[in-house]
Amino acid sequence: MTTRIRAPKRWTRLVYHVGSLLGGAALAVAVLLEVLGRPSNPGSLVDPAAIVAGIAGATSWGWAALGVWLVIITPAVGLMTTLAEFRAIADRRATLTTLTVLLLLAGSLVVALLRGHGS
Amino acid sequence: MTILLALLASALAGGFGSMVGIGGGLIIVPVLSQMLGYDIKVAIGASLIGVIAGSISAAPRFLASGLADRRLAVTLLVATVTGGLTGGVTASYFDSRVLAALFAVMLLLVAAQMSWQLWRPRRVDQVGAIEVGGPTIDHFDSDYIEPRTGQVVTYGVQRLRAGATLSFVAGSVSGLLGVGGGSINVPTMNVVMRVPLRVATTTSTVMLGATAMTSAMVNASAGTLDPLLAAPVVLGVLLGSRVGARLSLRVPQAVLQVAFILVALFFAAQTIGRLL
Repeated sequence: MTTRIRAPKRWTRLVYHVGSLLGGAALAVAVLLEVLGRPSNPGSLVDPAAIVAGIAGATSWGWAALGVWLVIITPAVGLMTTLAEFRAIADRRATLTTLTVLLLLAGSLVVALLRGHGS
Repeated sequence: MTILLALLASALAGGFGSMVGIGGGLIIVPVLSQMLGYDIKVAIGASLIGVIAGSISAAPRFLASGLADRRLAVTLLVATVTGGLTGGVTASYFDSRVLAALFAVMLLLVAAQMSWQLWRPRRVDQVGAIEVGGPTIDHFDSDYIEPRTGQVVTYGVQRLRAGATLSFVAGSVSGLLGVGGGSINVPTMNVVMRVPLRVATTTSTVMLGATAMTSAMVNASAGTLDPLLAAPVVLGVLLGSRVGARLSLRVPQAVLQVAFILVALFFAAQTIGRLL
């Protein structure tokens, strides 16, 4: 059995670190604002304008929505760096597989948005 | 007040989940829906964000140690992501009572699986997979350093097609019920694909984020993801799992497993009682 070359993983680890830190921080701000009794003014999670207004207005909902999206997108960004790291060692099969997963995730986002607009 | 209760409940669920090694989703969903009174669809939406947060916070450590197998993870993700989307979309068509019934069945199955692990004769080695002959797939030949002994363990992967099929089921269950799917993924990799247990658990944890992401997006667009509930759930899970991981070294694993079986049976009985 011959062990294959390992792809570097520095960037992927960094993405996961930063994503969990930023997401956790935004959610902690949301909990703090809620405990302080700030208005929540909930909107739609698929409405970027509502989220930006919520963050700017220091509402607990706006910061919670930001934190939720930061947490949700982190695995996808991690897969993008994984793709680049597999490419760096010319592992064609792993690169194509990672690309397939990313395309599936993009397809899921389209399905989710279409369903959101339809409901 | 509710936000603090959700934070406390998620910390307890995350801590207990990480001590038993099943993640928090299986406990968070019934706690939020049965004890705090949230609709099960909203509880599932918040739990999914907790699952992703747990995965991305543990991933850097598992990648750095070389235990998580990324080639295997991305290959199985093709199946689990497809399953996650299927489960997430299907869940929005189901009535909350149907989802609650399915969740009770899931709790009973995991309790049964854990009981089987407790009382059956131990066949799976803690370090390596079951030593059974058979062709491995060259692309996945790999190794890792066993943390307890410093020994290099070389392994291969078998029966990829069967593994991918079961991973699709794990993804569907994750999307449908808001749990991680590790209770299916880990035995799939370890028993079916002959991957060492340590690699199976860490690879499964790294995969959970992308698996739960698809159904989380479906929940976000369907309006069943409440960020104000997800916020204390994520913080609670992150806090609880760190404390739980430390405490788990002091409490015998068998005691924790028996405690989990009792909790799972309690929530399953309570759910069934409410449905009847």
